Amino acid sequence: MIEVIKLCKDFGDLQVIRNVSLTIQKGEKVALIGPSGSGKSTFLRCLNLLELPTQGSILFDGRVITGSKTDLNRHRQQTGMVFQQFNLFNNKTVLENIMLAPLHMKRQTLRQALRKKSVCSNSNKIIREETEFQAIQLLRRIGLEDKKDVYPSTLSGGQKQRIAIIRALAMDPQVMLFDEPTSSLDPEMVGEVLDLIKSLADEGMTMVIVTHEMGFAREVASRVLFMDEGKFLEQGPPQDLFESPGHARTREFLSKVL
Amino acid sequence: MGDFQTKLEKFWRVFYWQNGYSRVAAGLKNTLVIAVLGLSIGILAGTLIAAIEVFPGKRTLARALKRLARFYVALFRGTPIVVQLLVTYYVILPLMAVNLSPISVCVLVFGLNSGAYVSEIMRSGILSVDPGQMEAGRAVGLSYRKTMMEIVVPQAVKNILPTLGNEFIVLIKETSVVSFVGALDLYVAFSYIGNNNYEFMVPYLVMALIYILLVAAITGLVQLMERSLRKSDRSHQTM
Ligand SMILES: Nc1ncnc2c1ncn2[C@@H]1O[C@H](COP(=O)(O)OP(=O)(O)OP(=O)(O)O)[C@@H](O)[C@H]1O
Ligand SMILES: [Mg+2]
Repeated sequence: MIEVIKLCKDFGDLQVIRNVSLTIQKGEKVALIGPSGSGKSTFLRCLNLLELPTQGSILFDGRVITGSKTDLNRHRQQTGMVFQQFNLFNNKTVLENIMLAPLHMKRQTLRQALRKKSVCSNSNKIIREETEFQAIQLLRRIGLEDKKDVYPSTLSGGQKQRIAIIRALAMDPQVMLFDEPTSSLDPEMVGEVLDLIKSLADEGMTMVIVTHEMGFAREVASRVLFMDEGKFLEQGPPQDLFESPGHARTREFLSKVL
Repeated sequence: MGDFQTKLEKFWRVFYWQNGYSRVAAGLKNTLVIAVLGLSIGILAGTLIAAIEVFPGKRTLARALKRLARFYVALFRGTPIVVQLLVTYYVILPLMAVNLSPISVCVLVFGLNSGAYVSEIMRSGILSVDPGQMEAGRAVGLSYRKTMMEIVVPQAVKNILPTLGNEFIVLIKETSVVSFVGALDLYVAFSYIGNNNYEFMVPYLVMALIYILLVAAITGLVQLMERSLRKSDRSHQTM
Protein backbone atom coordinates (compact mmCIF):
# COMPACT_ATOMS: atom_id res chain seq x y z
CA MET A 1 0.00 0.00 0.00
CA ILE A 2 2.87 2.38 0.81
CA GLU A 3 6.14 1.93 -0.96
CA VAL A 4 9.11 4.06 -0.04
CA ILE A 5 12.00 3.92 -2.48
CA LYS A 6 15.46 5.29 -1.69
CA LEU A 7 14.09 8.17 0.32
CA CYS A 8 16.44 10.95 1.41
CA LYS A 9 15.65 14.07 3.35
CA ASP A 10 18.14 16.83 4.08
CA PHE A 11 17.73 19.99 6.08
CA GLY A 12 20.44 22.13 4.56
CA ASP A 13 23.66 20.25 5.25
CA LEU A 14 22.04 17.91 7.71
CA GLN A 15 21.14 14.52 6.23
CA VAL A 16 18.25 13.30 8.33
CA ILE A 17 16.87 10.41 6.24
CA ARG A 18 19.52 8.49 4.35
CA ASN A 19 18.44 6.38 1.43
CA VAL A 20 15.64 4.47 3.08
CA SER A 21 13.37 1.92 1.37
CA LEU A 22 10.33 0.29 2.89
CA THR A 23 7.09 -1.39 1.88
CA ILE A 24 4.02 -1.33 4.09
CA GLN A 25 1.15 -3.67 3.26
CA LYS A 26 -2.48 -2.86 3.80
CA GLY A 27 -3.49 -3.66 7.38
CA GLU A 28 0.05 -3.68 8.72
CA LYS A 29 0.84 -2.03 12.04
CA VAL A 30 4.37 -0.73 11.92
CA ALA A 31 6.06 0.58 15.05
CA LEU A 32 8.99 2.92 14.57
CA ILE A 33 11.46 3.10 17.43
CA GLY A 34 14.88 4.64 17.82
CA PRO A 35 16.92 7.22 19.68
CA SER A 36 16.02 10.91 19.76
CA GLY A 37 17.07 12.77 16.64
CA SER A 38 17.36 9.62 14.54
CA GLY A 39 14.77 10.93 12.06
CA LYS A 40 11.59 9.07 13.08
CA SER A 41 9.33 12.12 12.98
CA THR A 42 10.88 13.33 9.76
CA PHE A 43 10.29 9.96 8.12
CA LEU A 44 6.67 9.91 9.29
CA ARG A 45 6.13 13.46 8.05
CA CYS A 46 7.51 12.49 4.65
CA LEU A 47 4.77 9.87 4.38
CA ASN A 48 2.05 12.53 4.34
CA LEU A 49 4.29 15.07 2.61
CA LEU A 50 4.39 17.49 5.51
CA GLU A 51 8.07 17.27 4.65
CA LEU A 52 8.92 17.02 0.97
CA PRO A 53 11.61 14.41 0.33
CA THR A 54 14.91 15.64 -1.06
CA GLN A 55 15.36 12.50 -3.12
CA GLY A 56 13.67 9.20 -3.77
CA SER A 57 10.01 8.46 -4.21
CA ILE A 58 6.96 7.31 -2.32
CA LEU A 59 4.16 5.29 -3.89
CA PHE A 60 0.72 5.25 -2.35
CA ASP A 61 -1.62 2.57 -3.68
CA GLY A 62 0.71 2.21 -6.66
CA ARG A 63 0.65 5.92 -7.51
CA VAL A 64 3.74 8.10 -7.17
CA ILE A 65 2.95 10.90 -4.71
CA THR A 66 6.34 12.55 -4.66
CA GLY A 67 6.02 14.04 -8.15
CA SER A 68 5.29 17.71 -8.67
CA LYS A 69 1.78 16.99 -9.96
CA THR A 70 0.52 15.39 -6.76
CA ASP A 71 -2.41 17.10 -5.07
CA LEU A 72 -0.86 17.39 -1.59
CA ASN A 73 -4.18 18.14 0.10
CA ARG A 74 -5.89 15.19 -1.56
CA HIS A 75 -3.11 12.87 -0.41
CA ARG A 76 -3.18 14.17 3.14
CA GLN A 77 -6.94 13.65 3.31
CA GLN A 78 -6.27 9.92 2.97
CA THR A 79 -3.47 9.95 5.53
CA GLY A 80 -4.53 10.63 9.10
CA MET A 81 -1.87 12.16 11.32
CA VAL A 82 -1.77 12.37 15.11
CA PHE A 83 0.79 14.60 16.79
CA GLN A 84 2.54 14.42 20.12
CA GLN A 85 1.11 17.83 21.05
CA PHE A 86 -2.47 16.96 19.89
CA ASN A 87 -2.74 20.21 17.92
CA LEU A 88 -6.49 20.52 18.21
CA PHE A 89 -7.71 23.77 16.68
CA ASN A 90 -7.86 26.09 19.69
CA ASN A 91 -10.44 28.43 18.19
CA LYS A 92 -12.92 25.67 17.34
CA THR A 93 -15.20 23.59 19.51
CA VAL A 94 -14.66 19.84 19.69
CA LEU A 95 -17.40 19.21 17.12
CA GLU A 96 -16.04 21.91 14.80
CA ASN A 97 -12.57 20.39 15.12
CA ILE A 98 -13.88 17.08 13.87
CA MET A 99 -16.18 18.47 11.18
CA LEU A 100 -13.99 21.17 9.64
CA ALA A 101 -11.95 19.10 7.19
CA PRO A 102 -14.61 16.54 6.13
CA LEU A 103 -17.16 19.31 5.63
CA HIS A 104 -14.70 21.31 3.58
CA MET A 105 -13.80 18.30 1.46
CA LYS A 106 -17.41 17.32 0.82
CA ARG A 107 -18.36 20.89 -0.05
CA GLN A 108 -15.56 21.05 -2.57
CA THR A 109 -16.77 17.86 -4.15
CA LEU A 110 -20.30 19.26 -4.16
CA ARG A 111 -19.17 22.47 -5.80
CA GLN A 112 -17.57 20.46 -8.57
CA ALA A 113 -20.76 18.44 -8.95
CA LEU A 114 -22.88 21.61 -9.00
CA ARG A 115 -20.86 22.90 -11.88
CA LYS A 116 -22.10 19.86 -13.75
CA LYS A 117 -25.62 20.66 -12.45
CA SER A 118 -26.33 17.16 -11.24
CA VAL A 119 -27.22 17.92 -7.62
CA CYS A 120 -30.20 19.54 -5.95
CA SER A 121 -29.77 22.82 -4.11
CA ASN A 122 -30.28 21.70 -0.51
CA SER A 123 -27.34 19.29 -0.67
CA ASN A 124 -25.30 21.67 1.45
CA LYS A 125 -27.62 21.16 4.38
CA ILE A 126 -27.69 17.42 3.90
CA ILE A 127 -23.90 17.29 3.80
CA ARG A 128 -23.72 19.25 7.02
CA GLU A 129 -26.17 17.00 8.81
CA GLU A 130 -24.45 13.88 7.55
CA THR A 131 -21.02 15.11 8.63
CA GLU A 132 -22.33 16.13 12.03
CA PHE A 133 -23.97 12.73 12.46
CA GLN A 134 -20.69 10.98 11.69
CA ALA A 135 -18.78 13.29 14.03
CA ILE A 136 -21.20 12.55 16.86
CA GLN A 137 -20.88 8.83 16.18
CA LEU A 138 -17.12 9.11 16.53
CA LEU A 139 -17.46 11.13 19.73
CA ARG A 140 -19.82 8.52 21.10
CA ARG A 141 -17.27 5.86 20.35
CA ILE A 142 -14.78 7.52 22.70
CA GLY A 143 -17.48 8.45 25.21
CA LEU A 144 -17.03 12.20 24.81
CA GLU A 145 -20.31 13.16 23.17
CA ASP A 146 -21.09 15.55 26.03
CA LYS A 147 -17.92 17.51 25.22
CA LYS A 148 -18.97 18.36 21.68
CA ASP A 149 -19.55 22.07 22.30
CA VAL A 150 -16.59 22.86 24.53
CA TYR A 151 -13.27 24.33 23.46
CA PRO A 152 -10.10 22.21 23.59
CA SER A 153 -8.52 24.25 26.39
CA THR A 154 -11.06 22.80 28.85
CA LEU A 155 -10.11 19.17 28.11
CA SER A 156 -7.55 16.87 29.68
CA GLY A 157 -4.57 15.70 27.64
CA GLY A 158 -6.03 12.24 27.18
CA GLN A 159 -9.33 13.67 25.98
CA LYS A 160 -7.55 16.00 23.59
CA GLN A 161 -5.52 13.21 22.07
CA ARG A 162 -8.50 10.91 21.66
CA ILE A 163 -10.37 13.73 19.92
CA ALA A 164 -7.33 14.40 17.74
CA ILE A 165 -7.43 10.73 16.74
CA ILE A 166 -11.10 10.78 15.76
CA ARG A 167 -10.60 14.10 13.99
CA ALA A 168 -8.18 12.23 11.74
CA LEU A 169 -10.58 9.28 11.47
CA ALA A 170 -13.39 11.58 10.35
CA MET A 171 -11.61 11.90 7.00
CA ASP A 172 -11.91 8.14 6.60
CA PRO A 173 -8.18 7.75 5.95
CA GLN A 174 -6.46 4.75 4.38
CA VAL A 175 -3.61 4.89 6.85
CA MET A 176 -3.00 6.50 10.24
CA LEU A 177 0.34 8.00 11.26
CA PHE A 178 1.03 8.50 14.96
CA ASP A 179 4.01 10.53 16.16
CA GLU A 180 4.60 9.68 19.82
CA PRO A 181 0.88 9.98 20.60
CA THR A 182 1.32 9.41 24.33
CA SER A 183 4.62 11.17 25.02
CA SER A 184 3.15 14.37 26.39
CA LEU A 185 0.42 12.72 28.44
CA ASP A 186 0.28 12.29 32.19
CA PRO A 187 0.86 8.61 32.99
CA GLU A 188 -2.73 7.99 34.06
CA MET A 189 -4.01 9.09 30.64
CA VAL A 190 -1.71 6.98 28.51
CA GLY A 191 -3.94 3.92 28.81
CA GLU A 192 -7.10 5.47 27.37
CA VAL A 193 -5.24 6.70 24.28
CA LEU A 194 -3.41 3.43 23.71
CA ASP A 195 -6.71 1.55 24.07
CA LEU A 196 -8.24 3.65 21.32
CA ILE A 197 -5.26 3.11 19.01
CA LYS A 198 -5.41 -0.59 19.77
CA SER A 199 -9.08 -0.77 18.88
CA LEU A 200 -8.27 0.85 15.53
CA ALA A 201 -5.57 -1.70 14.99
CA ASP A 202 -8.02 -4.50 15.74
CA GLU A 203 -10.37 -3.10 13.10
CA GLY A 204 -7.63 -3.54 10.53
CA MET A 205 -6.48 0.06 10.10
CA THR A 206 -3.07 0.36 8.47
CA MET A 207 -0.83 2.35 10.75
CA VAL A 208 2.65 3.62 11.42
CA ILE A 209 3.41 4.55 15.02
CA VAL A 210 6.47 6.29 16.35
CA THR A 211 6.51 5.34 20.00
CA HIS A 212 8.57 4.93 23.12
CA GLU A 213 5.97 2.57 24.61
CA MET A 214 7.77 -0.69 23.99
CA GLY A 215 5.12 -2.77 25.69
CA PHE A 216 2.51 -1.29 23.40
CA ALA A 217 4.69 -1.81 20.31
CA ARG A 218 5.16 -5.42 21.28
CA GLU A 219 1.44 -5.94 21.78
CA VAL A 220 0.05 -4.11 18.77
CA ALA A 221 2.73 -3.93 16.08
CA SER A 222 3.04 -6.54 13.39
CA ARG A 223 6.49 -5.22 12.60
CA VAL A 224 8.99 -3.11 14.49
CA LEU A 225 11.53 -0.88 12.75
CA PHE A 226 14.58 0.38 14.57
CA MET A 227 15.79 3.68 13.18
CA ASP A 228 19.26 5.02 13.79
CA GLU A 229 20.95 8.00 12.14
CA GLY A 230 18.41 8.19 9.36
CA LYS A 231 18.42 4.51 8.46
CA PHE A 232 16.39 1.44 9.33
CA LEU A 233 19.10 -0.54 11.01
CA GLU A 234 16.94 -3.50 11.81
CA GLN A 235 13.37 -4.67 11.46
CA GLY A 236 11.22 -7.65 12.22
CA PRO A 237 8.29 -9.00 14.22
CA PRO A 238 8.26 -7.56 17.74
CA GLN A 239 9.23 -10.74 19.55
CA ASP A 240 12.32 -11.22 17.33
CA LEU A 241 13.48 -7.64 17.53
CA PHE A 242 12.89 -7.26 21.25
CA GLU A 243 14.13 -10.73 22.32
CA SER A 244 17.11 -11.15 20.03
CA PRO A 245 18.19 -7.91 18.42
CA GLY A 246 20.87 -8.42 15.79
CA HIS A 247 22.66 -5.10 16.05
CA ALA A 248 24.72 -3.76 18.91
CA ARG A 249 23.04 -0.33 18.44
CA THR A 250 19.61 -1.91 18.81
CA ARG A 251 20.67 -3.79 21.94
CA GLU A 252 22.11 -0.63 23.41
CA PHE A 253 18.91 1.33 22.67
CA LEU A 254 16.63 -1.39 24.00
CA SER A 255 18.63 -1.79 27.19
CA LYS A 256 18.05 1.90 27.85
CA VAL A 257 14.31 1.96 27.24
CA LEU A 258 13.11 -1.47 28.37
CA MET B 1 -14.34 82.74 37.36
CA GLY B 2 -16.78 85.32 36.11
CA ASP B 3 -14.58 85.54 33.04
CA PHE B 4 -14.93 81.83 32.41
CA GLN B 5 -18.68 82.16 32.88
CA THR B 6 -18.82 84.66 30.00
CA LYS B 7 -16.71 82.43 27.85
CA LEU B 8 -19.05 79.55 28.52
CA GLU B 9 -22.02 81.66 27.60
CA LYS B 10 -20.37 82.81 24.39
CA PHE B 11 -19.58 79.22 23.49
CA TRP B 12 -23.07 78.08 24.26
CA ARG B 13 -24.58 80.83 22.14
CA VAL B 14 -22.78 79.65 19.04
CA PHE B 15 -22.87 75.96 19.90
CA TYR B 16 -26.53 75.74 20.72
CA TRP B 17 -28.38 78.78 19.35
CA GLN B 18 -26.38 79.22 16.15
CA ASN B 19 -26.31 75.57 15.17
CA GLY B 20 -22.65 75.02 16.05
CA TYR B 21 -23.62 71.57 17.33
CA SER B 22 -24.64 70.39 13.89
CA ARG B 23 -21.10 71.11 12.68
CA VAL B 24 -19.66 69.35 15.69
CA ALA B 25 -21.92 66.36 15.01
CA ALA B 26 -20.83 66.31 11.36
CA GLY B 27 -17.19 66.57 12.41
CA LEU B 28 -17.60 63.77 14.95
CA LYS B 29 -19.30 61.66 12.33
CA ASN B 30 -16.45 62.24 9.87
CA THR B 31 -13.84 61.44 12.50
CA LEU B 32 -15.58 58.15 13.26
CA VAL B 33 -16.25 57.31 9.61
CA ILE B 34 -12.61 57.89 8.67
CA ALA B 35 -11.32 55.93 11.67
CA VAL B 36 -13.76 53.02 11.33
CA LEU B 37 -13.52 52.63 7.56
CA GLY B 38 -9.79 53.35 7.71
CA LEU B 39 -9.23 50.62 10.25
CA SER B 40 -11.40 48.21 8.26
CA ILE B 41 -9.36 48.80 5.13
CA GLY B 42 -6.24 48.66 7.30
CA ILE B 43 -7.18 45.27 8.72
CA LEU B 44 -7.93 43.86 5.28
CA ALA B 45 -4.77 45.27 3.72
CA GLY B 46 -2.67 44.47 6.79
CA THR B 47 -3.86 40.85 6.96
CA LEU B 48 -3.15 40.40 3.28
CA ILE B 49 0.35 41.86 3.62
CA ALA B 50 1.10 39.84 6.74
CA ALA B 51 -0.06 36.67 4.98
CA ILE B 52 2.28 37.45 2.09
CA GLU B 53 5.14 38.12 4.50
CA VAL B 54 4.77 34.87 6.45
CA PHE B 55 4.04 32.71 3.39
CA PRO B 56 6.79 30.08 3.27
CA GLY B 57 6.89 29.79 -0.56
CA LYS B 58 10.05 30.73 -2.41
CA ARG B 59 8.84 30.96 -5.99
CA THR B 60 9.43 34.07 -8.09
CA LEU B 61 5.90 35.36 -7.61
CA ALA B 62 6.04 34.91 -3.84
CA ARG B 63 9.37 36.71 -3.71
CA ALA B 64 8.14 39.60 -5.84
CA LEU B 65 5.03 39.98 -3.68
CA LYS B 66 7.13 39.94 -0.53
CA ARG B 67 9.35 42.69 -1.88
CA LEU B 68 6.30 44.75 -2.83
CA ALA B 69 4.83 44.25 0.65
CA ARG B 70 8.05 45.42 2.30
CA PHE B 71 8.16 48.49 0.06
CA TYR B 72 4.56 49.36 0.91
CA VAL B 73 5.16 49.06 4.64
CA ALA B 74 8.36 51.10 4.47
CA LEU B 75 6.67 53.80 2.40
CA PHE B 76 3.69 54.28 4.68
CA ARG B 77 5.58 53.95 7.93
CA GLY B 78 8.40 56.17 6.75
CA THR B 79 6.41 59.30 5.92
CA PRO B 80 4.06 61.47 8.03
CA ILE B 81 0.37 60.90 7.42
CA VAL B 82 -0.12 64.59 6.63
CA VAL B 83 2.34 64.26 3.78
CA GLN B 84 0.55 61.14 2.54
CA LEU B 85 -2.76 62.99 2.62
CA LEU B 86 -1.42 66.07 0.82
CA VAL B 87 0.43 64.07 -1.82
CA THR B 88 -2.55 61.86 -2.52
CA TYR B 89 -5.03 64.73 -2.65
CA TYR B 90 -2.98 67.35 -4.47
CA VAL B 91 -0.54 65.26 -6.52
CA ILE B 92 -1.50 61.68 -7.25
CA LEU B 93 -5.25 61.96 -7.73
CA PRO B 94 -5.08 65.10 -9.94
CA LEU B 95 -2.36 63.45 -12.05
CA MET B 96 -4.59 60.41 -12.45
CA ALA B 97 -7.51 62.78 -13.16
CA VAL B 98 -9.55 61.12 -10.44
CA ASN B 99 -12.01 63.24 -8.50
CA LEU B 100 -12.66 62.13 -4.93
CA SER B 101 -14.28 63.94 -2.02
CA PRO B 102 -11.96 64.93 0.84
CA ILE B 103 -13.60 62.34 3.10
CA SER B 104 -13.06 59.54 0.57
CA VAL B 105 -9.42 60.52 0.18
CA CYS B 106 -9.03 60.51 3.96
CA VAL B 107 -10.63 57.06 4.28
CA LEU B 108 -8.34 55.76 1.54
CA VAL B 109 -5.13 57.24 2.93
CA PHE B 110 -5.89 56.36 6.53
CA GLY B 111 -6.78 52.84 5.40
CA LEU B 112 -3.56 52.35 3.47
CA ASN B 113 -1.54 53.96 6.24
CA SER B 114 -2.99 51.80 8.97
CA GLY B 115 -2.62 48.77 6.67
CA ALA B 116 1.13 49.20 6.99
CA TYR B 117 0.95 49.29 10.78
CA VAL B 118 -1.68 46.55 11.07
CA SER B 119 0.46 44.28 8.89
CA GLU B 120 3.28 44.48 11.44
CA ILE B 121 0.86 43.81 14.29
CA MET B 122 -0.81 40.98 12.38
CA ARG B 123 2.49 39.41 11.41
CA SER B 124 3.64 39.17 15.00
CA GLY B 125 0.17 37.86 15.88
CA ILE B 126 0.40 35.13 13.24
CA LEU B 127 3.91 34.20 14.35
CA SER B 128 2.66 33.94 17.93
CA VAL B 129 0.21 31.18 16.97
CA ASP B 130 1.58 27.70 17.65
CA PRO B 131 2.97 26.30 14.34
CA GLY B 132 1.27 23.02 15.31
CA GLN B 133 -2.04 24.66 14.37
CA MET B 134 -0.95 25.17 10.77
CA GLU B 135 0.53 21.66 10.67
CA ALA B 136 -2.68 20.10 11.94
CA GLY B 137 -4.67 21.98 9.32
CA ARG B 138 -2.37 20.88 6.53
CA ALA B 139 -2.31 17.34 7.90
CA VAL B 140 -6.08 16.95 7.53
CA GLY B 141 -5.80 18.18 3.96
CA LEU B 142 -6.84 21.82 4.29
CA SER B 143 -5.02 24.22 2.00
CA TYR B 144 -2.57 26.82 3.31
CA ARG B 145 -5.07 29.59 2.65
CA LYS B 146 -8.00 27.77 4.24
CA THR B 147 -5.97 26.92 7.36
CA MET B 148 -4.74 30.49 7.55
CA MET B 149 -8.24 31.95 7.33
CA GLU B 150 -10.04 29.40 9.53
CA ILE B 151 -7.46 28.58 12.16
CA VAL B 152 -4.40 30.81 12.31
CA VAL B 153 -5.74 34.31 11.62
CA PRO B 154 -8.66 34.07 14.10
CA GLN B 155 -6.24 33.04 16.83
CA ALA B 156 -3.80 35.75 15.78
CA VAL B 157 -6.56 38.36 15.90
CA LYS B 158 -7.47 37.29 19.40
CA ASN B 159 -3.86 37.67 20.49
CA ILE B 160 -3.50 41.12 18.99
CA LEU B 161 -6.93 42.54 19.79
CA PRO B 162 -5.59 44.94 22.45
CA THR B 163 -2.97 46.19 19.99
CA LEU B 164 -5.60 46.60 17.27
CA GLY B 165 -7.69 48.58 19.74
CA ASN B 166 -4.67 50.81 20.22
CA GLU B 167 -4.32 51.24 16.49
CA PHE B 168 -7.95 52.36 16.35
CA ILE B 169 -7.27 54.95 19.04
CA VAL B 170 -4.20 56.14 17.13
CA LEU B 171 -6.37 56.53 14.03
CA ILE B 172 -9.01 58.52 15.93
CA LYS B 173 -6.31 60.86 17.15
CA GLU B 174 -4.62 61.17 13.77
CA THR B 175 -7.85 62.16 12.05
CA SER B 176 -7.26 65.60 13.56
CA VAL B 177 -5.17 66.40 10.48
CA VAL B 178 -7.84 65.78 7.87
CA SER B 179 -8.61 69.50 7.61
CA PHE B 180 -5.36 69.74 5.61
CA VAL B 181 -7.30 68.47 2.62
CA GLY B 182 -10.49 70.30 3.50
CA ALA B 183 -12.42 67.63 5.35
CA LEU B 184 -14.65 68.77 8.20
CA ASP B 185 -13.68 67.17 11.52
CA LEU B 186 -13.92 68.08 15.20
CA TYR B 187 -11.05 70.55 14.90
CA VAL B 188 -12.71 72.41 12.03
CA ALA B 189 -16.07 72.43 13.81
CA PHE B 190 -14.71 73.85 17.05
CA SER B 191 -12.45 76.31 15.26
CA TYR B 192 -15.54 77.61 13.52
CA ILE B 193 -17.24 78.14 16.87
CA GLY B 194 -14.13 79.82 18.25
CA ASN B 195 -13.71 82.06 15.22
CA ASN B 196 -17.26 83.25 15.60
CA ASN B 197 -16.43 85.32 18.63
CA TYR B 198 -12.64 85.05 18.90
CA GLU B 199 -12.95 82.90 21.97
CA PHE B 200 -11.09 79.59 21.75
CA MET B 201 -10.66 78.46 25.34
CA VAL B 202 -13.99 76.68 25.81
CA PRO B 203 -14.32 75.25 22.28
CA TYR B 204 -10.93 73.53 22.40
CA LEU B 205 -11.54 72.39 25.95
CA VAL B 206 -14.79 70.73 24.85
CA MET B 207 -13.01 69.25 21.83
CA ALA B 208 -10.37 67.72 24.10
CA LEU B 209 -13.11 66.28 26.32
CA ILE B 210 -14.82 64.69 23.32
CA TYR B 211 -11.55 63.03 22.26
CA ILE B 212 -11.00 61.76 25.80
CA LEU B 213 -14.52 60.33 25.98
CA LEU B 214 -14.14 58.70 22.56
CA VAL B 215 -10.90 57.01 23.53
CA ALA B 216 -12.35 55.86 26.86
CA ALA B 217 -15.39 54.39 25.10
CA ILE B 218 -13.22 52.51 22.61
CA THR B 219 -10.94 51.20 25.34
CA GLY B 220 -13.99 49.86 27.17
CA LEU B 221 -15.32 48.28 24.00
CA VAL B 222 -12.03 46.52 23.29
CA GLN B 223 -11.94 45.17 26.83
CA LEU B 224 -15.47 43.82 26.41
CA MET B 225 -14.54 42.09 23.18
CA GLU B 226 -11.42 40.62 24.72
CA ARG B 227 -13.42 39.18 27.57
CA SER B 228 -15.96 37.53 25.30
CA LEU B 229 -13.18 36.12 23.11
CA ARG B 230 -11.36 34.71 26.09
CA LYS B 231 -14.11 32.20 26.74
CA SER B 232 -12.50 29.78 24.29
CA ASP B 233 -9.22 30.22 26.08
CA ARG B 234 -10.11 29.78 29.71
CA SER B 235 -7.63 27.28 31.07
CA HIS B 236 -5.13 28.28 28.42
CA GLN B 237 -3.20 30.74 30.55
CA THR B 238 -3.00 28.35 33.45
CA MET B 239 -1.37 25.66 31.36
N1 LIG C 1 12.44 21.51 9.99
C1 LIG C 1 13.69 21.15 10.35
N2 LIG C 1 14.74 21.93 10.04
C2 LIG C 1 16.00 21.59 10.38
N3 LIG C 1 16.32 20.47 11.04
C3 LIG C 1 15.33 19.63 11.38
C4 LIG C 1 13.96 19.93 11.06
N4 LIG C 1 13.19 18.93 11.53
C5 LIG C 1 14.03 18.05 12.11
N5 LIG C 1 15.31 18.47 12.03
C6 LIG C 1 16.49 17.76 12.53
O1 LIG C 1 16.44 16.46 12.00
C7 LIG C 1 16.90 15.52 12.95
C8 LIG C 1 15.88 14.42 13.13
O2 LIG C 1 14.73 14.98 13.72
P1 LIG C 1 13.43 14.13 14.02
O3 LIG C 1 12.46 15.04 14.67
O4 LIG C 1 12.98 13.44 12.79
O5 LIG C 1 13.96 13.05 15.06
P2 LIG C 1 13.13 12.02 15.94
O6 LIG C 1 13.71 10.70 15.68
O7 LIG C 1 11.69 12.20 15.71
O8 LIG C 1 13.51 12.47 17.41
P3 LIG C 1 12.60 12.53 18.74
O9 LIG C 1 12.56 11.16 19.29
O10 LIG C 1 13.35 13.47 19.61
O11 LIG C 1 11.26 13.05 18.33
C9 LIG C 1 17.20 16.29 14.22
O12 LIG C 1 18.58 16.51 14.29
C10 LIG C 1 16.47 17.58 14.02
O13 LIG C 1 17.14 18.62 14.67
MG1 LIG D 1 10.06 12.96 16.86
